[in-house]
Amino acid sequence: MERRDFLKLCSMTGLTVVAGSALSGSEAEAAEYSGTFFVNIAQMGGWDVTNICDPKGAPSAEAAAGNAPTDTMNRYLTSAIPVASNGVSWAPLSQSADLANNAAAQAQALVFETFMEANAERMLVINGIDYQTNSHDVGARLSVTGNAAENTAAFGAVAASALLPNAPMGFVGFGGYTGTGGLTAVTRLGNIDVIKRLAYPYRRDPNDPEALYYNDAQAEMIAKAREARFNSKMGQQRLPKLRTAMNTLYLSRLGQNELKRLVDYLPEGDALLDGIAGAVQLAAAAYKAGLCVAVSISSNAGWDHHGTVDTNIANSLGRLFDPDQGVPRALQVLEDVEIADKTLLSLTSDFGRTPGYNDGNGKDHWPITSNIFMGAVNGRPIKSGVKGGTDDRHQALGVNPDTGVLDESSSLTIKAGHIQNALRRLAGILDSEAASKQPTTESPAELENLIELT
Amino acid sequence: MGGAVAATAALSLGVSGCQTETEGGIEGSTCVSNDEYFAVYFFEEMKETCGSCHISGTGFQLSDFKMVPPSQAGFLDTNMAALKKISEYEANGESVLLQKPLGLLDHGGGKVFAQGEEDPAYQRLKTLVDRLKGGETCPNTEARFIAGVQMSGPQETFRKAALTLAARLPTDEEIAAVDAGGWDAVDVLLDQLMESDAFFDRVKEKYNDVYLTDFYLHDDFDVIGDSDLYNPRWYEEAPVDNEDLQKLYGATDSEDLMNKLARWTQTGVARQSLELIAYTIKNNLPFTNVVTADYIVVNPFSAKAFRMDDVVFDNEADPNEYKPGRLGGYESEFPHAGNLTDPIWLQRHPTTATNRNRHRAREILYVYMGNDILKAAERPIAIDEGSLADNPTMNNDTCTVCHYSLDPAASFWRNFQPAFDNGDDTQFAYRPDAPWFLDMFQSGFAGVDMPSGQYTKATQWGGQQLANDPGFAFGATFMAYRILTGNDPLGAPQKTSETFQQDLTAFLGQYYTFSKVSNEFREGGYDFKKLMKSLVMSPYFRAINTAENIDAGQVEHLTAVGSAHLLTPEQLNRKIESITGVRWTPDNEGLDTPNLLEDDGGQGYRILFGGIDSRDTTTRITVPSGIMANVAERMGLEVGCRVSNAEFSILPEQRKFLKNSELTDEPQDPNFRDVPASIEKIKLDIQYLHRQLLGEHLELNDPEIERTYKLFVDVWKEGKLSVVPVDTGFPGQCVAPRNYVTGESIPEEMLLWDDGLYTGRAWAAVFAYLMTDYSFLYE
Repeated sequence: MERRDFLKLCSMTGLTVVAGSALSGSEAEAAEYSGTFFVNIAQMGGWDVTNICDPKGAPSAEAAAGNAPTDTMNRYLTSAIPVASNGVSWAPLSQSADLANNAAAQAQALVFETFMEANAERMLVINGIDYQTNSHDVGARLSVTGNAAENTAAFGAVAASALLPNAPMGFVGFGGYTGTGGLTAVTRLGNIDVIKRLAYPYRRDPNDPEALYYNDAQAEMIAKAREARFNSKMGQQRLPKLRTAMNTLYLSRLGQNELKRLVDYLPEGDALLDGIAGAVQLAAAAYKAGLCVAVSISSNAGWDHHGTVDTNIANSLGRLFDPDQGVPRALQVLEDVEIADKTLLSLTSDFGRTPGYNDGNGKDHWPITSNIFMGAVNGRPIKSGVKGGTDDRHQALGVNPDTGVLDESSSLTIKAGHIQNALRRLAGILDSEAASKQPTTESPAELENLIELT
Repeated sequence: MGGAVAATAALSLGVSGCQTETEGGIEGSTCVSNDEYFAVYFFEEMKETCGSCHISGTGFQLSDFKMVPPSQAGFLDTNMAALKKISEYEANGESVLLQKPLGLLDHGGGKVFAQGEEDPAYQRLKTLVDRLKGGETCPNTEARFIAGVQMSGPQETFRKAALTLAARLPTDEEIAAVDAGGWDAVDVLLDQLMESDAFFDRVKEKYNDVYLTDFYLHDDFDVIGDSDLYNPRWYEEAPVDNEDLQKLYGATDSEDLMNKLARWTQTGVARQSLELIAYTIKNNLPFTNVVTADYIVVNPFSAKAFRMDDVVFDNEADPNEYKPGRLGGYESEFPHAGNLTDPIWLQRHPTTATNRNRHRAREILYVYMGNDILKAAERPIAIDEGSLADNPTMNNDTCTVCHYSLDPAASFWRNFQPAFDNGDDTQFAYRPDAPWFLDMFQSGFAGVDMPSGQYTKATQWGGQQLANDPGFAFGATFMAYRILTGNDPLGAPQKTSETFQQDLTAFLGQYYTFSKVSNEFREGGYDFKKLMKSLVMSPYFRAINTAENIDAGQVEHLTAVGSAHLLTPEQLNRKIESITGVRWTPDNEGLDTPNLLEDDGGQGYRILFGGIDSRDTTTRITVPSGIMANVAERMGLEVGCRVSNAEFSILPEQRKFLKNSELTDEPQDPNFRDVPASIEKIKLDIQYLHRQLLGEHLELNDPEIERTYKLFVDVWKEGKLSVVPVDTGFPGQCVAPRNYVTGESIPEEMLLWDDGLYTGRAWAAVFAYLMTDYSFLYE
């Protein structure tokens, strides 16, 4: 069986029917992927977007400094909200009354504001997204699947399955929701020396191509024997759970040899960065090697701010946008390896936070939230600006059913499924077998131009 | 080895009456139980229609008819009991349950059935009420849900259990005992398996997947703070220069002693919760002890950290000996409640001023009650700010769906809620008079208020409530199932799914098995080992295939049956060491930390093979990726090479596997003509390897033996022709420095470097092939 036919079969059947296939290790050479690289950074816990990219502010200094609980939306002044020429605005969090005597938190907030000042013009911010949940589990899942059901596949898994089926690391995960719905496997990456050892398992020393356990011919013999045994065993087994397990192991081996390509693109060991930037470095290497379509990263910054939200979110934003390890450095990494124009970066979270401040000076769960996008698809930058929106109490507003721009005459609000449909459309996988197996809860006919390209 | 095939009734569920041979759509079945009738009706009708008010929503708090969401273990039992109870209330001589949904009797939800009494869904409800009134005539049978499934027999079941529970193969004596005694012998031997260290390691690993307290094995375990109760670095004052002390603890010098004392203390502290679970099982205590114990368990070193000088150990130098001890001594007032009050767990899952112990409650309900609170909120919500104005966690439907059951349980830790002002932020400090919050559902559990007299020892009251609740047995069953199979229990089926009917069958089959096992566990005094044995004997462990002639449609209903999961790094490491005798470590002496356990800065494979570090990586990957496949590949090559060398380094009678072949046994002569005598020996050893490594009992002429033999010959021939001319020896990292059976060092001049005939490396390829097989990597 030809590889493409085999992969088509796998794509059609998920992980359930591959018995009888004939595909040896050496034949398993996948095409190199060079399409769009999708990077999602998840803010687990539910971020307060009115303190980020959907700012509301306070009408007066008195209101900003009012004791909790209070209906005041934010503790900075509405009049102080910066707005870029494309309409993107952001919270002047460093001016929060809560941070007035907290220089450290102010500094963290300024890290965020500095980033926004420098990058707002190339951002697409989608506000007023109604996730219709205040459950962490559901929200974290929904934000990247567009479907609240359990065991649904994250966008990265759908894209990897559709665009690079059965590649060894089509979907790389460093946290966030990484469910795959059985479409593919999620891969972790780590220490560079270890990856090299795994890229060349038949080398005793990964840096010495002559020091082998077995030569290529012998490796091929093992692979062929393994495949013949797999086919025999699959022919005898009928229990779905066992067949699925056997298949997943078999499929995981299809791209074994392709891992070697990764080594050429890995940074030197001591050049590997920490945090988000390091994760992007590794995933970008996999992408450069043609092995990776998407990566999911958790910012690990803690966003569930039921108490003292302004101080806490300042610290979280400081970590997310840390110049050495955070988003700014990750963007630089993408520039350095010359794939910035092929990368679409998204920032998501479980949901938003309630209007006003609770008696702990924090904010509770609220289904209305925002997503931020930066970058390009197939070399074309996304059209920056703002889609969707919320009223002054952070309720989602109606949008144009095609573009997602605010429209008073419309009752349609943006849902997570719309975002996922838009991403699938941009990736060219909206009608793919993988996407059809993992439907979102919204109609693809709605908001067809939610995310536009220049 | 083959097991029995269960009776072949085809499966598909329905809800018709109990009269025919094809009843309720279940062909070949004679009747459908009330349980099952209710369950199908619940998923097809009630969950959406009634559930919107009676599982959550405005009607929930106001109505006497309260159901629980499918995220709560045992929800079908609970909900059927609730329905039965409400159906027995009558008005005007008829069940209120049949009147309210018609819009009568001031039903808050109005008229539910659009077509009134003619509505088919109403007719089904009527049938259900009639059936409940009439009592059960068709009890559930497990056999209905495993029709056509082939189950493993005693030997095969015991082998699988030995590997899963004790990470070892059955001994010859055990095999003989099972041959002679069948299932009765298996029952006895299973108890013995559950006395092994490997079993307790597995139990602790699985609970740590939730607790994540192993975080403190690597991090600052003095994070909970020096106090009157805690002196974590007591050993820094220990007289480590004392040679008698060094000898007592088996230390080589003062530095080694200091390191040992530190490590043993850290382990004892970090693993208290996990060790209490192990202690409870090991000592055959009722498993409820894990939430009711009036003590923690400590080893001789963590006892010192907790300033316990009243705990007596059999061996003060044994870090693996755990004994009960009370914080502050046996006269203290500290309200121990098993793992609910473990200081390190409290620290690992800290509360805040606003979280108010909800996170702790959520975790305890999940691990001990099988109640996944976060899954309760599965419905899309429409929320507006107005509805949040008046304390939403008590008054907003979208919030109360979780908080109604979560918040009362959070109050179990009311004595462990810091005020977070004036420096009061210690997570495990006991505050007997701490106030609780008035703006939360009040202290209690499952609808029972906590008596005010219990407020000062709320954790103990809470632990007792957990222990008394039927959900506790479900929670333990779920965890036992995870320990045994590595799988999670099935989630409830979604009516919108294309495979709803198949999912429903699979779910109900598993639900009824777990329900039966849970009931036995509860009625039998919470014996965890018996619980494990019940699951071992269930089709969720023993199913190995189906009948050959099974209908394809029937197979679709068997998605939950059987067990198959990729071994965790810890399990695979234990299996390698136990079966092969080789430790897979970076060094060839086997002294370093095994590769599969090492995550120190990412140098090992623990994380890449899907494991966790209890810190940043807290979720396991269970589906292998290309990277994981290559971890297994490297394992097979490196371990296979070492085993081959180790085997030929010792006498045949000492060997584990290759008892017939020698390095001189080439399958073909110099002209590549077969050498029958050598071939026979090689095949005999291959046959034995299939049995030991893969559990396959094959005839010598079996195609699998032939396939493996062909691999041996092909690799050998290629090696002989292409490799030997340039390389005649084993790779250096494979050369065994000691007899791997006796542990005796091998003199330098006796080390086995030479493999001039290439047979040693051909055998290594066979080992690699078999050790990377599905049957080795999965259980």
